[in-house]
Amino acid sequence: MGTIEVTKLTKRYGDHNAVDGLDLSIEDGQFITLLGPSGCGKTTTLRMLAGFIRPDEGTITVDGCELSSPARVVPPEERGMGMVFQNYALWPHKTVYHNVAYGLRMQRPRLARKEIRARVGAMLEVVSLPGFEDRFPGQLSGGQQQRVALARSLVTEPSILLLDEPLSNLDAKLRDRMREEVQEIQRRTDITFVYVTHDQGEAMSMSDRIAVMSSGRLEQFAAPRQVYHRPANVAVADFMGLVNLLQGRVVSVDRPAAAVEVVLAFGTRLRLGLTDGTTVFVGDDVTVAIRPENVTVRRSADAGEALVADVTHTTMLGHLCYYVLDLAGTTLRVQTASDVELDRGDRVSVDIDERHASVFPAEVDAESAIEEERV
Amino acid sequence: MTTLPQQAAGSPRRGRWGSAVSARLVLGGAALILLVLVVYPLFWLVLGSFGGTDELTVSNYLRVVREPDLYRALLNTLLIATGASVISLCAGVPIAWFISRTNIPGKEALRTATSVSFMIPGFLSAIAYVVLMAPNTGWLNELVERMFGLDQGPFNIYSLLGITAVTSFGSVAFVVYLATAALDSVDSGLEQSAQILGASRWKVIMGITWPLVTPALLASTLLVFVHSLALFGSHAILGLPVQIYTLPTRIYSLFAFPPDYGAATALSMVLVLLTIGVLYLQRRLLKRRSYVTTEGKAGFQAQVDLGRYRWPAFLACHGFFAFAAYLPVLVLVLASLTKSRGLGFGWDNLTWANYRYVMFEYSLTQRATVNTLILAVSAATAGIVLGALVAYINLRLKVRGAKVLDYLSTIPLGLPGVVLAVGLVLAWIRLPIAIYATMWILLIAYLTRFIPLAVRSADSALRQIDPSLEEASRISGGSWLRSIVEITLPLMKGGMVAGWSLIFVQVIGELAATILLFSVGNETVAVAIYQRSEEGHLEEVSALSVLVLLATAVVLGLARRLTGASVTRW
Repeated sequence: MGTIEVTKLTKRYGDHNAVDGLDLSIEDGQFITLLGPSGCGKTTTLRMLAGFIRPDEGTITVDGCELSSPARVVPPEERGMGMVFQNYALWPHKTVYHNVAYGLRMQRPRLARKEIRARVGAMLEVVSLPGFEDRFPGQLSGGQQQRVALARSLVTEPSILLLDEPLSNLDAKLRDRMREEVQEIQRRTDITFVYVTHDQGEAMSMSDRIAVMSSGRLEQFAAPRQVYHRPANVAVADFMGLVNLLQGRVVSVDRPAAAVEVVLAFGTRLRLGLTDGTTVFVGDDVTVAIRPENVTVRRSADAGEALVADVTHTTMLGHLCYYVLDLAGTTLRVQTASDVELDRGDRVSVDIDERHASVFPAEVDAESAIEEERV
Repeated sequence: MTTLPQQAAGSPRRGRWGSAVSARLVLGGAALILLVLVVYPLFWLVLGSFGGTDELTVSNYLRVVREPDLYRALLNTLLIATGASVISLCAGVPIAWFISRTNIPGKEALRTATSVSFMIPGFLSAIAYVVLMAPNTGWLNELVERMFGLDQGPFNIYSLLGITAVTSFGSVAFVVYLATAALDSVDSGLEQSAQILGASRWKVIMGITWPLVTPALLASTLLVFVHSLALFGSHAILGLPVQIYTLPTRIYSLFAFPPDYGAATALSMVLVLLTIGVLYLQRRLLKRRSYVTTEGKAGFQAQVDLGRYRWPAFLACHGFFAFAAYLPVLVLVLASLTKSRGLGFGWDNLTWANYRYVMFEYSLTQRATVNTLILAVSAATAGIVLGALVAYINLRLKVRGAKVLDYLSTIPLGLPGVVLAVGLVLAWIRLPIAIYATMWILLIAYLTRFIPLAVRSADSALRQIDPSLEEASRISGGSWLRSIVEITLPLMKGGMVAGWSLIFVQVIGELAATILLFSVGNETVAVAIYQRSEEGHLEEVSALSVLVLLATAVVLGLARRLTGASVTRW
């Protein structure tokens, strides 16, 4: 079992709140990712879960047992968790065998040497490194070191595994492969994984749920699909990938259908669904978030369309094309399949997919939201 | 689909003791030790200089200004320190440049010679120079007398100039080490980009290289200055016979019966303030204007081709080291093998008798050897353990007050050996427990003197270990103590062995504090050498000196083998 309940967790460094009143409840056996830009408090949160940092406020409870509070922190060695470090933290003076066996040797009552040997062997099979027992970490490649680190943290069969950006030191190809392996191991073991990363692609591809953090606060805690398509606010929308943030004004509100009609700066009217918890009134200034893939462009041979824009910049990515459009003074980023061939200076007609656009009150613009996160 | 069995729910393993409590206990213990070692004697030193416990007065300080033999000591000290700094700078910078930037032959030999000059205790080179350059009896003087038919040889080592020269021989290494490091870290790209913009070779040196390394050069020169201020052995051996006093030797002589604690403590304080002032200046210089030490990795080095000056440069460098390193060692070895210095060189004058005498026949030197070994091993061991403790607390434990320990441990850098001894005498003589006049007071003195060295060694070893290695052990179920034993200590081993041997070697050569603190029965080899040289038994003294040099070389060599790195290079 590995149910984690985080309540009002706060950690301050001087005046700065590294983690600020974080509430999080993680179900047993889930793959959870703490996602956010550097300095958002995700690593501090993870290290508090591990027991390396004492919270200033709030508690961490695992399976009903309070492990951390400002008054008392159960030390890391008594929490029965596993952890994979960003730099792997393999002990350079110990062989692969002794690295992996370490956690088993620490267990009380003592395990028989035979059992330790058997379990280390089995664990090395799981991470596909059988026969590497006598190597030293310095003799392994980055990917192999990563596997040893995984094996070392899993061999004690913890109920919770903490992973601190474990793939960030690998090259792109290896990272994709390890991603699948980590996911596979999580499915096989049913251990609760708490995974920290700043890479939204990694987060979306692996997680059951993503906790998006910024400035020490939880912005959204939801499934990857929802975080991407129904971001809770502008900051989340902006962090989850390239997004157009357009200014508009509410012209009508349809409360029963949770929908609003918005007129954009360049005159287009859109009918948009409201995200849970968002309240807007007629006349309010709003920000509309539209992902580049939810805008379609056609050569404006068939004129008469409402929206006409000029292509100002093109980027060919192989499987995709990005275009920057100028729409009556507003910059719009668009993504298309690569067979749509447009050139600089082309005149195109633009269609916005209303179903995938989100609307937010315009109190915080994206620029300053990002600025805040970098403390 | 395989499944790993799950651990029983909600059963965190229980530890034996809370780690926060034990951390505080360790911190408190280390702080207490440092307070006793460092602050306690310093307190009595300061108090003593202001008249002691009866009434507070500045009369002791007024005496320093008024009494000629007190301020003359200060003047001599400043003269010698300045002279030694200038000589070290003038000799050290070219040597460093040759090593770092040219194709001079035999660079390794130059590096080794630098280390040798650094590792010879000052009083040993002083003794060697007495053998070489004493008026009338000195070998060089005799040689010149015979060659030119003079009545009296030209050299007199018992002089301000002689003392200054011998002092500089032992401190030139500071300049060579630091200047080489600075030059090594200036990427030649910086110089070449100036060249490509049209600067001449000379302009490049004056406009680019020189400003970049100046702070390091000045800092190393100030280090030589501080080092020279504190020297005792060579200044005593070369100065006391002709009444040339420096601050340390004056303080020492004030302890002769009847002791004048007032003047001794006031002079000590003057020496401390001078030392601290210069050290502060040196630190500021390195911190403020250090362009080169920040990156820490060697840049690309273009080597200057010396052409036909290769061998002249080679000769010049080794010519200097002939005086700073080779001659002293050679002279000591030769003198130790002769029956009498006066008889000249010949097969009939060769003998092992001096070694037999000091090792097997003379009880003082036998006793001194045993004492020295006991003290060196225990001080090195206790020192490096304490050093590791302080470094660990400072770098790893998130306890308030950890930084204070680090500061405390650097205080002895400002305390010359003689001064420390004065403080220890005042501090321990009044206690009813038998510390004073035992080996314990010597052990305490060595621990205090070399704790900065110990902390620095352990600190740099610990800095190379990523904290996550310990954290990985904790999260795997290893307790705080277990993680230190299994992970941290094994990884620090190399650095700690190096630190241990450095302390060991320093203890063997320690004279400045020992000379005021030893008592009959507790002599060390350094004390025996000093006493017997005062009495003129230079042959047996040379034999003892050679043994000291051998022990030094062997220990440093072993440490180098074990750690795979040269421990004599900072």
